[in-house]
Amino acid sequence: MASRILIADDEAHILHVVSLKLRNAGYQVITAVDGEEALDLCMIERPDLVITDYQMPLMSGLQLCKCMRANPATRDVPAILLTAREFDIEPEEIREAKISAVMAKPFAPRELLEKVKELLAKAHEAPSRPVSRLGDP
Amino acid sequence: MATGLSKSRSLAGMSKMFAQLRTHLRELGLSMSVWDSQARPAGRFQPSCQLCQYIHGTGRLCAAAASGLAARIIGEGQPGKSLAPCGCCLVGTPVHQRRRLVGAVVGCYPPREMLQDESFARLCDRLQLDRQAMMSSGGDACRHTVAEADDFTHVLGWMLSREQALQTAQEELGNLSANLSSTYEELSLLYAISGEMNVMRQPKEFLQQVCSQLVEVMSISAAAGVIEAPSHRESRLGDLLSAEQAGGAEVVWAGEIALEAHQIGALVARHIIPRVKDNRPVLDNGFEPQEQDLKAIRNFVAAPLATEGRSVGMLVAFNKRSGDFDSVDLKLIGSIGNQAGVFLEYIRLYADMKDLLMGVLHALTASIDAKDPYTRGHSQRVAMISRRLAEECGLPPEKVQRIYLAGILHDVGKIGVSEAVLRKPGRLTVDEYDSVKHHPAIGAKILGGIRQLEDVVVAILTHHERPDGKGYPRGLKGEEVPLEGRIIGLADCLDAMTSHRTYRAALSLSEVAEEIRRNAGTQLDAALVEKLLSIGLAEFMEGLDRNGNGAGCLTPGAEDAK
Repeated sequence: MASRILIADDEAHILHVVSLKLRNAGYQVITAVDGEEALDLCMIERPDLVITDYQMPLMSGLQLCKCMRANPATRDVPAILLTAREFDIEPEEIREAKISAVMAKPFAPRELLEKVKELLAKAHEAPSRPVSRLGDP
Repeated sequence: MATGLSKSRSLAGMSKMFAQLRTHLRELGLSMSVWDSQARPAGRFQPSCQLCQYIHGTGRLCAAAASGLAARIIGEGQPGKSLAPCGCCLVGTPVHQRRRLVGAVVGCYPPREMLQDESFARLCDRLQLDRQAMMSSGGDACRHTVAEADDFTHVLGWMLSREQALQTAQEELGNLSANLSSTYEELSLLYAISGEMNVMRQPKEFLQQVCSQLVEVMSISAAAGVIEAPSHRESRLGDLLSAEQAGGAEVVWAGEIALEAHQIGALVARHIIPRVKDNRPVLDNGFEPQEQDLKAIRNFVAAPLATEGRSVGMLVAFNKRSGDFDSVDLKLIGSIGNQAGVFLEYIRLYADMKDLLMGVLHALTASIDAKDPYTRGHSQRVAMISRRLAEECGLPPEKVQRIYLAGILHDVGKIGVSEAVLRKPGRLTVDEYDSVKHHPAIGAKILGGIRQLEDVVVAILTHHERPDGKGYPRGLKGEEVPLEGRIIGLADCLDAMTSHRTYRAALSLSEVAEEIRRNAGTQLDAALVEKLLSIGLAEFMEGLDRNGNGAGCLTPGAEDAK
């Protein structure tokens, strides 16, 4: 059963590039063009991992993750933030939104894929724990 | 429910698309109006058709009917149609943006049935228009019937969604192209900078080129680079810049910047160096310095030029034209800073090694000169004469340099000759002379193990050979003697003749000229002698001193400035 990944970015070419990379690696990909659509799709589709841009219309990637954490259904879904403006975000906010990884643009699609594999493997190891903190043995 | 901002319910950015739609509908014989989410007209309401315009003047009745339909469509969120009191058919469809209802589009056309209607006849009477005439001109305008309204409702919906999809695709393509274009620029920047990395380059020149390239590619107003001067390698870059030590650091820049070198230095020292951690690049999008003269700088990204944990300079990009710097800029300048840092360190290392080599060699020859005071400076002079001779022969610069080196080292073998013999005031006995004749071979042996000096060893070994074969150690003849050996041999003689010896004074230049002419072809290479005499001895000897490399100079490095 292939893992499902949601990608949210208002830039179509990022969606294309990442979708292609992930689909070729055997994952199912769902796309969203803004934060609001991403949140709705999260609730409906229940992806195994979310990759999101930071600056998007209607809702930022940061807000998206915070909303995900507020909902028990999506609380433990790992999230990767893709952004060219990492320095604009307080580290505290990243922690609060429980974002597992931040990757600065330009990112190498290969590196992103590695990160996705890593996070999904970790999530698989501890599926029944209510709140898993990355880095715990 | 909906968490978006109010402006998300706007028709912003869609005007071009509506214009396209309007054109298409006009071709079908419909006019079009656009309504916002409050059913208010978006833009100037255009009259529904020529007929209505003609009859009703401003087409107000159509407008009111269209407004009503728009309100219904928006309320229900569904396409719809209606019949206006003036007889026109209206069709409409909702407009969505990001899954929200943001307005409606209404099309309007006069149906053919209108012309047959009673109300139309009464209207013509009221306006005192000839009904027959109106009917014939109206025939052109009324191309469709009431029954087609359903189809038109669908068509309108399809056309709208097609136009929206097309516009989205065009925008995405535009963004993608812009992204691709700037990525190509960045790539070509990295290619260009790799191409600049020539070890023969001066660090300052290289850095200047890097700055120019950055300005071209990064869309910034200016770029600057600072690098510590070679003479100040042990100091910290920040100190060099802050103290405004003359010549402590070099500053280069490209683009438009209202700052002078020392101000750039101050900027780097006070605002950038303190913020660099682990030699990572830094970014500041809201730079607000206290210093008045630095206020022209709005934002910057900077990367240290560093290797082995030590920063030898800084690269800075100022005032991004399109607004803020982002991580793409940061990574780019970081990468370039890295490359440049490694390269600059390499240049320095190379220069250091050259200096070290020359220093060691000079020390080596000085040790021989120490044993024999009359030959002090002899090696330097032979080297200089040889170098000039080699240049006059048209040899390439690398070869000339090698011959110079051979000149410095040609008598190294004398370390194997007893001091008593070297310092003997009078004529040497045959045995003593024989012991001296070993020095080319001894020199060759001493340096023979050094692969990089192979060509120099050849010159050392053969500098006492003669065209007539009566030389030593091997008695080579004519062309068998390598050119380097012949050059050094002539230079050696020249210096011996123009120096004072214990047993005779220095010869005058005319005596020297006569001597070498007499020995041309036998002891000395004829072609070289010819060349030397054609230049003129006086001119030749004077040329040596003019280079500032005075005879007897023992300090290394001076000749490397050549």
